[in-house]
Amino acid sequence: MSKILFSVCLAGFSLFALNGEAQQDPFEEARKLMVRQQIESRDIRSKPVLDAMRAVPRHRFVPADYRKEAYRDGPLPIGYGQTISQPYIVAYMTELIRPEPGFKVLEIGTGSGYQAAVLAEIVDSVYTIEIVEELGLAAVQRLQDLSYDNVHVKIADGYDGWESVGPFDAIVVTAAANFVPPPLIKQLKDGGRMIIPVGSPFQVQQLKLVEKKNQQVRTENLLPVRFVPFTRDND
Amino acid sequence: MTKAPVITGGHVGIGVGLLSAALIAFQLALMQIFSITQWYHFAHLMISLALLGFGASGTFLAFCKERLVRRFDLVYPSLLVLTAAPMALAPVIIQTEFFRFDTYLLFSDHRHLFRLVLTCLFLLLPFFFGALAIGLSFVRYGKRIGQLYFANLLGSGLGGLLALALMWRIAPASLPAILAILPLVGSFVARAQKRNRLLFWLCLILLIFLNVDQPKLVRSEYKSIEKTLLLPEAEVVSRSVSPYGLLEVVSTPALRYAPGLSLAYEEGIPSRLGVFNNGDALGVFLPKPEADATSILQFTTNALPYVIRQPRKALILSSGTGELLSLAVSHQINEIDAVEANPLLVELLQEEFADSTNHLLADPAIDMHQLESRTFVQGSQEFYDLIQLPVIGSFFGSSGLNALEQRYDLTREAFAELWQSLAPDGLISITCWMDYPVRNPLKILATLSDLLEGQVEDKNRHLAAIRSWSTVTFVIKKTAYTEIEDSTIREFCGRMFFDPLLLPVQNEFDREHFNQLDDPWFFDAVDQLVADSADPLDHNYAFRIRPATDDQPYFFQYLRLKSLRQLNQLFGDQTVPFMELGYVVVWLTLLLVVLASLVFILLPLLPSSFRLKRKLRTFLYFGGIGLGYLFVEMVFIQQFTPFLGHPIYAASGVISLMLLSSGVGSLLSGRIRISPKNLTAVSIVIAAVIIVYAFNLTAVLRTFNSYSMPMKIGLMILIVGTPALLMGLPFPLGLTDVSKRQPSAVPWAWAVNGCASVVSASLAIVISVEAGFFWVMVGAAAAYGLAALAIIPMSYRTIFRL
Repeated sequence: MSKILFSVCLAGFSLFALNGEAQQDPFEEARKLMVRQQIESRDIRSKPVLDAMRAVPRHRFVPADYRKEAYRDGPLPIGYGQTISQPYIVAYMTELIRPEPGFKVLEIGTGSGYQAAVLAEIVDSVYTIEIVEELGLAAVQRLQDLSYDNVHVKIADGYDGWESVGPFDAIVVTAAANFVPPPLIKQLKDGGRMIIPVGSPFQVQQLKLVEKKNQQVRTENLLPVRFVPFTRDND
Repeated sequence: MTKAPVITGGHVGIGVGLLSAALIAFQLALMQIFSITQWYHFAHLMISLALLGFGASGTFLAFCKERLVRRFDLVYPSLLVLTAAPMALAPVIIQTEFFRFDTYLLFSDHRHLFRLVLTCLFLLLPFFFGALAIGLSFVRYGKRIGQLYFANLLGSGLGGLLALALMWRIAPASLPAILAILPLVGSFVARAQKRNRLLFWLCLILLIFLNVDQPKLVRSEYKSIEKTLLLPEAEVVSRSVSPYGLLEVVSTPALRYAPGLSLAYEEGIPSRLGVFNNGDALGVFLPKPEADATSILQFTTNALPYVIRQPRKALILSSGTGELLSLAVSHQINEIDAVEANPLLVELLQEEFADSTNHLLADPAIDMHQLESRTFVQGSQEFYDLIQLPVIGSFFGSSGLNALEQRYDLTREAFAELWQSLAPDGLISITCWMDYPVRNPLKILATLSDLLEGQVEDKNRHLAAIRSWSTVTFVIKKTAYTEIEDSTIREFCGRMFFDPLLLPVQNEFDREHFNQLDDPWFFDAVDQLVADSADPLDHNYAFRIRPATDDQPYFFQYLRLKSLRQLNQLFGDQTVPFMELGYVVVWLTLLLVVLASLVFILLPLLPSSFRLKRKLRTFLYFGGIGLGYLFVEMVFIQQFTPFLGHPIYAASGVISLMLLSSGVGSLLSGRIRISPKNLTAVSIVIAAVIIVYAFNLTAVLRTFNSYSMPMKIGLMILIVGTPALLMGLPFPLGLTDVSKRQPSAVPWAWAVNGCASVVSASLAIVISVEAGFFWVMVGAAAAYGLAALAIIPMSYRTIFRL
């Protein structure tokens, strides 16, 4: 009996603690500031995107070491040679695919899961693929903890896409590639949009928009991006 | 009564030779280690800093000379052991968590900066102790400086060759523990006293332990190979070491390679074996294709020359892992000359991975040449229908870390030679990645436009270029393009979703139908480069896009220091480190070594008890000869690389030959009477020889370029050996005189010379980038001239009456 009581107390305490965190998110102000200073000021105007950026707790997607820097204007390392993108880039890529409720979006390169979470705030379902098992498993746990039930994570090679659930209204590729995988073009709906960074993984890359219309595929240069870590303030 | 010395000058000479061999070989091993774990230019920075140990030893010696000389028999062998221990331990220590830094995190995590400093300080130890032992021996045996300096140079020369030989068999991480045996033997020869025998045995045990349990290198997680090894089922299937680096082949089902593939391609892309050199991606092994239209390579802009016309004879330069060779074979060309300098890569393709490539190199059409591209072209009498150069600006990139790579195959002169090797209707094709900010395509176009300017009447009619979503391919034709060829190019673009960038016949066409750039400036710049020389655009653009030349062969060096402010405004305060690290790092290295050298040189002058006379002259003399020597060495390496066709052999050959010849010079210095006139004469003669070389060396080497290798080596011995022999004289002559006149100044002169040598390596690179190698040679002559000037005012009395 005492054990049950203890468990109930513990569960109650945990719920209280979680609730407390939810109510008094210490990063809420930082997040609002991030949206105002880094995203709105750079001409991101889509309300659903701005709302999503305000809602997703970015600090939960970065390693504990970097939590204080989570809302800074730059990418951060997440281990395995990967980074979580700069907030503005996440917002920019999200806005570019013009997400709507009812959309089915494919993401290649889950990384921390942050981009998937932002998309999940807007669209019906997000299918995301991560090739590095450790990153993929950590992202699954993180997204579950944050109750993103509409995000489906697969640990696999992103080259093949996710044929069984395609075609997709939009595809977001977060890892630089030396080619656009033909299966992804096939799995993109006619009129669909794909965003993909092109260039060396640690140089300034060019973000490209790939559009499929009437059996022709066109690309458009968007803007240069960097997926390298930025300076830390305090060590 | 003074006690007779236990250690004789002969013993010391052996020790100095062994120590010098170990130090230079250790330096080369460190270069390899850092090239594998980090990137080449950080290796340069760290080793430059570590080499300041030479300067620091002179400073230390200036303060403690009396005490150290008094106890020479104890101190000297101990210093050899103290050199051996950190040398052997280096690969282990610098890879511990406390020391290990990551280049990419230096700008984001200050802890890594701290670790970099710690690593430099640790690596300073073997150089400091080693140089202290050498400097101390010069002080102790002042009358035998000629012989000791000979031992120093002979050891260094042989050490370079030893390192080169060992690198063919032994992994770089295992080298330091082996090399550390040399100073330990030197200590043994020096008949270590009881008091330092314990140290000797401890070190010996350490070496045995380290040679049995060989350390493994931990690479930056940002290196291409580390990221590839994270892919499922990834494993290294082949590993081979050589002076060219650590060559590894990685297998994983997730590694696919189709650079710049057309978006019209709908078939599958099979996985490939990835090839990495020092952890940086070189490419993949491609199987010999069947001659079918669906081959991936037909869907890249690289295929453009084959669309224009079917060549009968092709030359594929820097064929690497065989991508362009594979494309050529798929078009059933009868004769293909392939050129690749890295013998290990060729060996892998021919033997271990012959099956994976469907025996590509065994194709009867292919004739493989293991040479630098430039050397092959200069020696060849053939004419080609197609010459294809390697793809510029690898997808994998390196954040500008290759900015200071010397590319003699991409200079203005190299393209002129290619033009001469073209058959009447021949084509030259070169592809590059579109980079941001745009640099690669503009520099290539500037080079091609410059070439055509002097060769044809209307260069527009000889130049075609197409652009995919990621690459640009330029094809120049020796005769003017026809209308049919022009239409063929357009048709190819439409089929592949590519866009024409330059069409030889038609003026009106859509440059952005499939791939929108949203950058009208780029198209304006392209038109400007075709219509005019590169100078006006180069002048107004933040980056250097003028053609590279043999004198400034840095094709990938785009950044200008004066543009930093402008770039900073465009890209923010974090931009430069991610653009051309190599260039920034060399400037940073120069700044740091100059500052540190000033400290080491000025420090001994501060105490009032330590008074030196004629400081400025000593400084100018030993600084001048230190600076000049390395300047000449750098130019010789630059000149002999395309001459011999093997960069590693050219570098090691020049360095060893110079050191050995200078060693002989220093041995002969004992026969020269030390007088102001003689010293001045030696320096002036050297300066004059250097000036003669500056104006004539390139032409002489070009004349003998088609000679056989033994003839070329003979010529190299003559050309390098003669001035190097003379250049071996000033140091022992000057130091002997100093030791006679004012022995207390010997350590300071040693410090000045050491610091000047370290500064000169970085300074030579900076001068060659900014002004060209010609000016490095002029700088060398000026440095020796300065050394002569330092003595002229004294020529009527004594030299260095300090």
